[in-house]
Amino acid sequence: MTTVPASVSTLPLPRQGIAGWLLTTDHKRIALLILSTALVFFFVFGAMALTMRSQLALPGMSILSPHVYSEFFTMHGSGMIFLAITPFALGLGIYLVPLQIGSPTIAAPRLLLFCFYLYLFGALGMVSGFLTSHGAADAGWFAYVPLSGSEYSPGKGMDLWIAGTFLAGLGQLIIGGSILWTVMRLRTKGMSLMRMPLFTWSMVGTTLMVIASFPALLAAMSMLAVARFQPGVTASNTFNIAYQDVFWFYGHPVVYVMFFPFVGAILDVVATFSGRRNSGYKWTVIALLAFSTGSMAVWGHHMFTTGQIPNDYFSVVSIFLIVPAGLEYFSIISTLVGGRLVYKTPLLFAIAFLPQFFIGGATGVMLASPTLDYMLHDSYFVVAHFHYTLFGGSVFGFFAGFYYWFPKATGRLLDERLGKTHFWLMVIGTNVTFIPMFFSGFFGMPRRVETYPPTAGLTTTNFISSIGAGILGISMIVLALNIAKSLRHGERAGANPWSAFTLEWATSSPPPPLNFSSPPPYVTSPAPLLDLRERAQLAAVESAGGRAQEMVLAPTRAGEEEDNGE
Amino acid sequence: MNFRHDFNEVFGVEVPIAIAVMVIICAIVAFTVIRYRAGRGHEPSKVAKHPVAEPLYVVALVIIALGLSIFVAHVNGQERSGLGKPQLSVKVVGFQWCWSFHYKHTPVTVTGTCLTKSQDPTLMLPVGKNVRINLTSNDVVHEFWVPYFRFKIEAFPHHTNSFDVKVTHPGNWVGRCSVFCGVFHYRMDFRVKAVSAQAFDSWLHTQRAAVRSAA
Repeated sequence: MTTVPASVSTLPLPRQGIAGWLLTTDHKRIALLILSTALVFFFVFGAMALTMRSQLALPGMSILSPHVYSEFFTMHGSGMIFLAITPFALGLGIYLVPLQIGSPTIAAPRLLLFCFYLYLFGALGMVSGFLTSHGAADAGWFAYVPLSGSEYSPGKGMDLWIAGTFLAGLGQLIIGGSILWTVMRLRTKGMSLMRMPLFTWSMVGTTLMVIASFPALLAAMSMLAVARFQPGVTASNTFNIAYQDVFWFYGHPVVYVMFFPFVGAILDVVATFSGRRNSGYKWTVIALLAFSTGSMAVWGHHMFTTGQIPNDYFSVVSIFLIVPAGLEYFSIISTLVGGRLVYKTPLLFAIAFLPQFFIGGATGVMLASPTLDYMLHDSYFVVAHFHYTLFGGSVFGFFAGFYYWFPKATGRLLDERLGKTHFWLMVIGTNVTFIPMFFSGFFGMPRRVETYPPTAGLTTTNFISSIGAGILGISMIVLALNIAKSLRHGERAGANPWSAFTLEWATSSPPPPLNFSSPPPYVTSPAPLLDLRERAQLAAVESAGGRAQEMVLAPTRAGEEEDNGE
Repeated sequence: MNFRHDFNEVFGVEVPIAIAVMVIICAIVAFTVIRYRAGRGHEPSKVAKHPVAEPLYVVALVIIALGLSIFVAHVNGQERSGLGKPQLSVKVVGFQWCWSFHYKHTPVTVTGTCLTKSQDPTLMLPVGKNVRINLTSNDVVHEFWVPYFRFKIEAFPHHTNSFDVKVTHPGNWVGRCSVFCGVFHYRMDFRVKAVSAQAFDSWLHTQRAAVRSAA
């Protein structure tokens, strides 16, 4: 545990204007660059999903040609995962972790800026495939060989996709290292590991998974590059199945990379809007670490139907993930129970997360059972399942965090009325879109089909899904309006608009370049600002009784003993 | 219908559990949202630990996970053990973008173009016999899925996946490719038709004769 690295005081003054953004070494600005880029991609790839849903609304429609449809679902899937949700997850960490642990800076900020450019140019590379004669990549987000090899996908779009994914993935890997380094080395006075806010703990789990699994993405992309230069390698089944193993060794942990930070956001949000400390802090930390460990050992459940994986092992380990998941639910719900709940927009998103993510989790247990997976794998049931985890779960968690920390980053509150409109439209849209997909899959609809015959019995469920997608589209327009309006006319936030407990609220909104204009308070628990408030209250009461001096010190000691006990 | 049986066995356990837990979560959340709203003017609880409830809850979760995984692995083992000696073997080959079905020890191969419904190839199966399907691919990875069977498995080039199926009653069902395999993936449908053993034999006989006369 150190305080301020000596080099910080010698940092040059921040540049002004556009260069002040593009050449910044301020972690907050780098985070905002990443988050706003990711938000743009979220809208772009979301619009692609709406186009696909329009085509699927009725049987036999062809708004997009089969080829362009393949490009759209490939770019929607890979774009949302590599370029939108993972950057949301890591971007929140870059912005918040130094603030939450009371550090004036992040570790390796110049490297971090370089990572933003790796991500940006990787992303531009991936989407620039649309400008080539064969169009963008069209082999699905997991790009199985031999299909993604040069023999079956000859266009340059696929090459650009591989190179872009590699660059973006490399950037995200280094970002993971930077955040973990920050947590380990730059905590402020009193901030022991067991006094870190739960969002920061969720970033520890996230970055551990990033460091352990993202190299496998780089390896998988290298394998694809080999398969494109030497298509002969795909004549070996070993190569083809190894690609699937290596890809999913990344592909499963990344699911939790896109989930943990948003659970962390929800844990912070429920504590703040319940007005109390997180319940079951210690078990939540254990659960986060167990969850990240377990995430590395379950990739084979994506491969039950390959017939080339030990199904029992992967099934058992996957089912055991209900233990840490159940603990996180316990922590969130038992913080709400007994709280004093203030229904601001962030809390609404956090509450909707609970049943929605459960639907994703429960169907996940079903898919982890090979006998059910043999039916449901690669069908719309799976599409519904992972949209409940990623959209109904992660994106709701992201918006809980977005509404919660937007005033910290911009100094202005988002509009509550528009926020609640956005929330309700999103709840309705999510469930109307994705519930019918479970049935589409059960009725025999495979993933990644550009249309279906009128006789297949899939018309009703698809039509309802498409209506839901339209509602989601409208909800995103409301969000865009809210951001545009609040950035200029939003209510001024002040340092701590929600009466929250963690250190990012102990500085101005937005924070100064080195985060804290005066040193943050000595940290005595995961909720340091609540400690200060309680101590002040006690002091006020006791000074009225004339025994002030004694009692100001007493709770501090008590707090420390309690934390050591944790 | 071995796969259908095993699917129903697990589905019938996991879905009711999932629904029950969902109801519990919704009930607790609904109660909490109403009971603990700030408008009631109470103070938030200061309790942050439940030293007894938390370990007990962990134990309960472990017991549930253990029970569920033993049950799932048991049914999985039952399914994997297969149906014993096959009475008929069919080699199924996926290719861009259709299927072919070759009946072992005969010259009979059924295929089609899958371009329209009428050109979908049909996999004929005899009712009541153990059929071994040997599945492979000529080009990219495909996936053989018959929703009515509650079963699918991937078809790899340069690799054969085998499974056994025993159809218990006559019928005619749709089959599909379920892993993305290129632009016409969505058209890669086939039919599975189960007929009585006698009808199957006479069908095979006719096909054999047709192959011979063509040669």
